[in-house]
Amino acid sequence: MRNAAGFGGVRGESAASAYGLPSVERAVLLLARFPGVGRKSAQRMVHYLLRQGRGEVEQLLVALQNLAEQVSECRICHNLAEGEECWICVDPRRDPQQLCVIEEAMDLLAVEKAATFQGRYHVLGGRLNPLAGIGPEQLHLHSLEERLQTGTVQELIIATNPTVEGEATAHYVAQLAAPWVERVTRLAYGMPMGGELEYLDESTLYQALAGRRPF
Amino acid sequence: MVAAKDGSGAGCVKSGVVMQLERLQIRDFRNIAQAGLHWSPGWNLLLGENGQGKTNVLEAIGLLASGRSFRRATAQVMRRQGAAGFALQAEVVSGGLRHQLLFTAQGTQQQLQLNGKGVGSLSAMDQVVVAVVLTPDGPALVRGAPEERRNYLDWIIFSHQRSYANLVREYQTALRARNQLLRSQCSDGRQYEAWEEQLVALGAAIYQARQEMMQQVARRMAHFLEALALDPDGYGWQLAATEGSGREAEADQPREAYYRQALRYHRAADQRSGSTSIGPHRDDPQFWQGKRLLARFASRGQQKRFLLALKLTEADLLRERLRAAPLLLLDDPLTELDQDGSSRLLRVLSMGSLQIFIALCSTEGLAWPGERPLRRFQVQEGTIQPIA
Repeated sequence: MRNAAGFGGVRGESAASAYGLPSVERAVLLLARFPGVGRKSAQRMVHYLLRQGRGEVEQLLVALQNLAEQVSECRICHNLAEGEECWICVDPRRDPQQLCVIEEAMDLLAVEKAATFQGRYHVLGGRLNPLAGIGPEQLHLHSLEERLQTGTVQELIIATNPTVEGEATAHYVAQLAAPWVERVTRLAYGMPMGGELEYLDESTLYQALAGRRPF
Repeated sequence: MVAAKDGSGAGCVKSGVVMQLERLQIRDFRNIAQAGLHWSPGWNLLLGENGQGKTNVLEAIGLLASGRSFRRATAQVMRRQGAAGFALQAEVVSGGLRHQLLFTAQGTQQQLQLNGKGVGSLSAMDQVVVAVVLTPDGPALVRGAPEERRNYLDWIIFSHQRSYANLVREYQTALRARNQLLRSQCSDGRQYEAWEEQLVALGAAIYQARQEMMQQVARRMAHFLEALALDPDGYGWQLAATEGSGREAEADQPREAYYRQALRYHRAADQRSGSTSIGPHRDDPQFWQGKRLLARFASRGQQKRFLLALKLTEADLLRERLRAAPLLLLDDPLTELDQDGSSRLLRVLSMGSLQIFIALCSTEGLAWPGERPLRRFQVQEGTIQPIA
């Protein structure tokens, strides 16, 4: 089934060109590169745009152009930013004494959605993975150390993913922070809220059991 | 979990619930073009000369029970020559319910279906059919490389605790990362430490699980050793001391502390060899006769008896966990056994309620215990005929 779809893509390509729609085909191929988007969805998007007409396409065009021109990396925390610094780094209400370290800017949005964290962030831009050639030099660790050296940060919260790579990265960050920060913490492991016990995978349950605490 | 009362040491393989393969249909598997077999709930003897296809039948049953070939063959190797794929269809009665199992392979794709639905994970199969296998390669477990014993031990643990597979996988990830640092001549101590800490935590968990399982198996094995006329107190399953490693664990040192120290201590030497020399991936869960290695000092016959006791223990532990006796697949189990050993094995097998599948060249000279139903099959050039 999956194979057939894969081959279908190749066949469809030549078919579209044969119909003389190279512009459509190019757009489909580009959209199909997006994560989570297959050829079928890409085709639907293109046809949607064509149906909506010129106005919609131009609006998208401007949006994409702005994206490329306006959005860059925050010079302090490496979050996505429009301008030099991101909306969190410029917000005076955010507590500079708490710093949360995460792998990607996407993770920041997730933590922000919880809306309980009032501190600031530092985005590493990935995680240690020697096999993929990612060492400390490839992550935003220098800038992290510089931030810690100022002595403002009282608590460093490490929120890398609970994978082996994420754990190794957490350990590295903890070592790096130890001389500068009084309190280094790690997000807890365990059961997701609102989840049902019977649907949990064995490893998560195992961790949740190991990390149980007095009621 | 409530400990099963009859499993506490009485040890013989009794079962509460029956797990029984009733029918098996084979199409285009190995040298078998087509076969429809109706099995006995007790003994099933597959008789025939060498190379006729007896092991193929056992392999088919094993494939349905574990989703993998005990010969470690791929789907393309297992299909009959000239066929595009193969199919195995079985009817199993388990826990009072009748189940349909279907294993199909087309090209490189294979699929296991239980009652018409695809089976994602092996744990779904636990309540339906599970098998313990003894192949003629079995003695390699005793005499072969440490890896054989590690894999076997890990497999038993995995069959009792499915999350163990994640542990091993994560350990391998951390190990590959550290080896990569070693090979790239990395000199950043903090980076080593970050990965070594993962190896320490995961390695200690693996070590712990292995220790517990080895002890459990050794305890449970006594009954079967005795039944096969081996001294129940004289045998054990323990890690062999790692040779040539500069540092041994002190007696009361926690495993984490030992790994942490040893990994750091061996960093320079590991860098020269390009691989990690310390950890559960290098352990050898050896079989012992007293303080001596079974592989080196016991006769072939003794080793074979020990191996059979080990397999029966594996089945016994599974029976306790599943509350149902697994199938027992024995390929040529009597080789290297003398008359006494053979008759003892048949006696201990006849005491339990396991469904047993045995591949043998002939039953000549064997006194078959008559208490349980028995069905014989003649296997010849890929055709399988029941013998009246």
